[in-house]
Amino acid sequence: MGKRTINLDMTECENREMRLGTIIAWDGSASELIEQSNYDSRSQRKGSGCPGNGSKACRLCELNSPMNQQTMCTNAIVECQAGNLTDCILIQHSPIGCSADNAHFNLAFKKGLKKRHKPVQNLQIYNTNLLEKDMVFGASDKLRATIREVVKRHNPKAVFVSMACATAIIGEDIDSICDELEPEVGVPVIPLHCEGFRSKHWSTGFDIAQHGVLRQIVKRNPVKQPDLINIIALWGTDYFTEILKPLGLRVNYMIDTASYDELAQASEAVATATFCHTLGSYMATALEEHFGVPQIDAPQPYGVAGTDAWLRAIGKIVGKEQETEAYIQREHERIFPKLEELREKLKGVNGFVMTGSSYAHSLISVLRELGIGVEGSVVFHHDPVYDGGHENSNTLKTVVESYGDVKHFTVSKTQPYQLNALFKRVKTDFVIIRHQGLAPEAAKLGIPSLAMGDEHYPVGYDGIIRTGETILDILSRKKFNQVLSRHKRSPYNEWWLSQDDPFLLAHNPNILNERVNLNKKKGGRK
Amino acid sequence: MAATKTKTKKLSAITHPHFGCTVGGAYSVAAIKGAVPIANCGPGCMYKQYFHLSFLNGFQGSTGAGGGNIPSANVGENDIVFGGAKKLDALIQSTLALYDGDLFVVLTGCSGELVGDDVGSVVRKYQEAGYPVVAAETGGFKGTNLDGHEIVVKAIIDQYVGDYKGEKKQGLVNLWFETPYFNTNWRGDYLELVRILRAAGLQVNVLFGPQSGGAKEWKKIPKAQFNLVVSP
Repeated sequence: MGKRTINLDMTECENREMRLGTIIAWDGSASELIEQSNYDSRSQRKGSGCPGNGSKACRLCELNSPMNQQTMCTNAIVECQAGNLTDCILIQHSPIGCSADNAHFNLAFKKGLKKRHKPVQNLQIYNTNLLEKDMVFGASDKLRATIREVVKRHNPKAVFVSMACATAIIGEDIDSICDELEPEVGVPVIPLHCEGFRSKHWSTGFDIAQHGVLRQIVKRNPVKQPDLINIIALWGTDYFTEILKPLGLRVNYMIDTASYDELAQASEAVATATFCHTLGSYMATALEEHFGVPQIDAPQPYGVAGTDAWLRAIGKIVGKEQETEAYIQREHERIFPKLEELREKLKGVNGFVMTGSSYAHSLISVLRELGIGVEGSVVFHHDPVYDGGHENSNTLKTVVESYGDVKHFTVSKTQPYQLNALFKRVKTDFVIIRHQGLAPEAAKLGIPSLAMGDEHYPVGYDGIIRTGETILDILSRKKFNQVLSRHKRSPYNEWWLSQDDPFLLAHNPNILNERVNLNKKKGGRK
Repeated sequence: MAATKTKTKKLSAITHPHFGCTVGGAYSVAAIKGAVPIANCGPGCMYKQYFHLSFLNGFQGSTGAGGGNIPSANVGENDIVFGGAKKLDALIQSTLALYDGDLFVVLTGCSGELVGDDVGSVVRKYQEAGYPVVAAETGGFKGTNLDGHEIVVKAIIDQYVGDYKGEKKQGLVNLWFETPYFNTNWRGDYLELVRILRAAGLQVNVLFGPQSGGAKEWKKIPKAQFNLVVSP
């Protein structure tokens, strides 16, 4: 085993922006971003000082806008990861508001269980409900009482404890409380340091949840199961089984909807793959470095080229190269006629993608595979390199090399105020969005928007067909969106809607002083 | 906050909560036509309240400046250590520049309240220049979104509506009714109650929702003859 980039001795995991150099605001073309990201030299120097190549600055240049809109936090992500296990409990050590979206993740959990053919149950999250006096006097006793009580009530296989902004600021020491109670309750009690202010991008939350699982659940003395493959996923439909069954592989989904035992056997698998490197690269790399489970060194399984390469990489690891080739051949023959048909129907259509980082790269591949033009795209953050830094995992490079450049490639964290300007500079007939606050806003601008709820939808060969058919459905409601856009009132003023640069405030911050003059007396505005 | 004062040694933890926290008051602001909430809290706070109060509450969507449109300071580690007043200042300024609003309410969440940001002084600067900006102290540990609603209403009345010593207007009623968004069918309830009151010959300050005249109507609150409180 080579160098270790992931440290499992600490209870906290390193933030994404420190580990990978993640940025959340950037504007340019995809090819420029690839060049600036400098994936290769970053992956080589990883873990040893400056990730740049010496002549350039270490950090990717990032735009800094004074305007921000609501996004998501690491605490929410941990809630959807550690809180969505079938036989473990998550305790949110926080004021009640941090659990306000439990209902949402309960819905996602139930739907996810159904999609994975498991018995449907409620999610198991407790909130310690901290109040003003807890902020003053501390709340450790509340946490201790809650841990004891949930173990008594539910008899879980493990208990996770998550931090929030408030508990981090008042200095709650969840590490020592977990250590103290673990022998008493007899199951792993796992601290997760996911306070919301901690990272500028929520995806650090995935790493934090995975870090906890890797530290305290994954088996240290694995007995190899040669037909088991880890797929790091969210709640998506179980398409991976149908893709990997012909290679004789069983899928072990993590972390959502998994059980304690399924997480524990991660170290027994033959390999680790993921539907999205943003989500899975931390866990996959840690499994590779600490448990000897190799990760698939390939782009993600989307589009024909991507799926081919992904399957070949898996075939190589499990030693079934010939079977894989035959399988790929069969699948091509099966889907190509249907694909041709869809390409014909979608001729001249343009699309726009707005999702998490490497998932967006894959969606662009799928759209271009269908013959749909993609002039612009928004990713919610950008990782210049992924954990592990495998040569073939550079998803952005893959999409640009296989299907051409994306002219307007924007990194921006769920900022609806930019939508108008973003859509002005591209031709687009529809938009695919994976964020609930944005999809309604795009729809109100008159653009049919597809809120892609099932993230496994475009996976594999059939995924291309599925996506193509859904897009045809979406396009047919263009009229509705146009009518809607005529009847809505925008919260933004005429001046902003007339602007063409979505990052105007970052490029020209002085404009604010012209617009909002504090020396003017009443009625100065407008 | 009666529920929190019980003396029994019951477990205070909650599972499957049916309310948000005090920053959920942002949705009471979003329910006022022409009002814009400015969230001075962590990056995920507004997202969580949005899900609870709107998205999963009968999919009420994002109207006005609600939903994904809420400006948020997205407080980060630097703001916790060095204070978030500067970031908030820039956020208020850009919100005033970009949004089409008559009333702006700054809601400070757990982080701002705990690190002790002087939000009042930041907001006062704008108030003195004549901008309709209001500050509400809604740290999430203060209680539920119902408490948040009260804090927000009080802040708007104190800082935006102001004193009035003139004549009362005959037949004008302030309607204090359901907390917006919290009840899935609040819009329908308002619709019917306002219809009945108007049919009875009263003029109604509806304050929240589609029947309301928006922020300007709040200015008329002190002119009303009486407060009609329908929901406690």
